Amino acid sequence: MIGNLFQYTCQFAQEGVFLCYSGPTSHEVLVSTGNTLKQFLEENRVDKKQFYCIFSVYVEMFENIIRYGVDCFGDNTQMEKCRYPYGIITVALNNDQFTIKCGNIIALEQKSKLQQYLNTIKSMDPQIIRDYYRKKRKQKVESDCKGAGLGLIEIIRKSSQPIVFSFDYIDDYFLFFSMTAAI
Amino acid sequence: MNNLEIPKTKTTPEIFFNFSTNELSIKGESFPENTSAFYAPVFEWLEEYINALTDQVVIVNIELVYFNSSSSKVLMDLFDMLEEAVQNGKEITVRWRYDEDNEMAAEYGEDFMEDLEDLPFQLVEI
Repeated sequence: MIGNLFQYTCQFAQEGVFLCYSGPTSHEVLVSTGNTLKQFLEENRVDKKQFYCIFSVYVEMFENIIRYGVDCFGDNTQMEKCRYPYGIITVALNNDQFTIKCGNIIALEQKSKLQQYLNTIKSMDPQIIRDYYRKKRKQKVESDCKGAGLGLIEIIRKSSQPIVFSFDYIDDYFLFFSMTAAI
Repeated sequence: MNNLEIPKTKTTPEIFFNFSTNELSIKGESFPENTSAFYAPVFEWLEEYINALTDQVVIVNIELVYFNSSSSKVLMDLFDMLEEAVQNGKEITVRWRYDEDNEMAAEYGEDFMEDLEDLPFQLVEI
């Protein structure tokens, strides 16, 4: 096991990952790891705009895991009974570009709607997505949304490159959803 | 009516609504664990306050260095509420205060401003 952790650490170092959290997610974990991220950005004198883009994407990704992820540690993997959904999030720095990746487990039935939605908003140009964001912000929140339903749009608007996402097969019920944003 | 005072935390802004000076302020960062629960007393206070308003001049200072997307939605609802009050003859001005090097806060202010027709909304560089 110790050998494995060393390998993980080396792999992270090679990829420029300076922050990684993997485990049960909660608002408390978001706040404490978020503060660590802020400190790192301050120490590295990242400019204000990039600073808040990075922090914003980090918060939105983390909140998505908390709201929509599935718990794989508890006895019950049913979505509605999930207290601390499993998630993994990494932040890397390479040549002044920050890459934030997040991954979590979702139920199979969540895939089609999420995939369709991501493809739709991903193809929007900056002006269209800005208008869409404002239109959605004026509307009432959809019933299956646990937040304002603006998080994914926010992530895309803050990214300097198109986001990349994938769904990996776990078993007949669950998938691993992951997303990468670069700033 | 009492003032509304909510001290800031790591994820919620300081809220100080002064009933006697008619200055309302929201300052800090906003990414609460439960956004609607956090802002519920703010809306409750405002509703009562607006109902009691006659010809006072109200200034709402918003100085948020960071807010998440669910807070953005709540802010829109708050501005809609203030705009409705203005349409009913109340005198309310929002001052969106941002740090000169926080380009994002300025852009957010512009986004809100464009979505409001009757609510006076000023962008103030600090």
